[in-house]
Amino acid sequence: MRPIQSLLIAACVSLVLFYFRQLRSRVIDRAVVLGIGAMAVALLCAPDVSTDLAHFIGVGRGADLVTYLVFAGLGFVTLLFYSQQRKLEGRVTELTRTLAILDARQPPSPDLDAPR
Amino acid sequence: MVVDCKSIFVVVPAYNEATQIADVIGRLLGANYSVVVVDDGSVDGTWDVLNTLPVHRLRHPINSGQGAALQTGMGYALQQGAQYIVHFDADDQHQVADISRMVEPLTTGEAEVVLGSRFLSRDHQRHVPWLKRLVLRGGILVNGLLTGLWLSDAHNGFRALSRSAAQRIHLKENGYAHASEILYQIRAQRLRYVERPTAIRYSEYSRRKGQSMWNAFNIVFDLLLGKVFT
Repeated sequence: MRPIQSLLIAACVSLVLFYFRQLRSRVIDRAVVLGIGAMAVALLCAPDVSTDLAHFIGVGRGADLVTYLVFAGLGFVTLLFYSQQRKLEGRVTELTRTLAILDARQPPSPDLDAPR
Repeated sequence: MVVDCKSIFVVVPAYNEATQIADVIGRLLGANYSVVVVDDGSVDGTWDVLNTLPVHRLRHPINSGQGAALQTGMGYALQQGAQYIVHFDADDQHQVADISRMVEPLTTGEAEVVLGSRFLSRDHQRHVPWLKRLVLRGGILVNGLLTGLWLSDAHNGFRALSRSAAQRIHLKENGYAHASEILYQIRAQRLRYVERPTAIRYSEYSRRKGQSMWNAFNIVFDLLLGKVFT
């Protein structure tokens, strides 16, 4: 095993452990992260597999296949974050609205008993 | 049909309008409407000015956008028993005298939503700067494709809604895209709507305060993303 493989495998494992330890999330999220981490480590241990797989699906090099997958993954994650941000913005707006309405000021009522 | 003016709630979203707001509100109060002003987190003393006026006033603790302020105002007006709700700009572009013409179709039952238009009258059209007219025409096309409603003026902030229509509309677009979102919801809720001619007064102040014409691209972007992520 070459030194770069060891470094990258260590980085992958550290990221997965950091995710599990620091970020609370659903079981499905953890399963996805574990699956992607395991796939990354497997490809790092046997880099020729990515080349065989690339050829199988019509891509020239294993590195290109990995690059395409990374871009697709980044695009998906970006859209996911945007969706979460919109939901968060909606919740902040509802909170802002509730506070504004609770603290609303009204005009003085007309004095019905005042002489006309 | 004689309508009690106090049952007409004019919702005015305001952001940094300290210099103009008293004049605008004064004209609305002079016509005896119920006025609800939503201060959208202004930092120029607009709230202090509002506290000197006999109006319903609410304040967003953080700036949230015109759409958010309108929805806050509508929700509050409904709580106060409004029978008709009018959307009215704080920058003195809209005419108080047009409110009765806007509300009339609601009182006769002809419509549930009335939308103001700058392009139903040649006289009103003349006052719209030519470049803005060009961009607005483009906006009509884009709005029509996105919302399914083909109007003569798709981004006019002057609107009147019946109580039942206001109860069925809930704006989620905080920024200027709310104008298109309202049209989309009118169609989705199958609300009966008509257009009425309204005059827009373009002053140096309102031109400075109004949204940049290039904001149209942001609005389309927001709408498309809103369709995907809602």
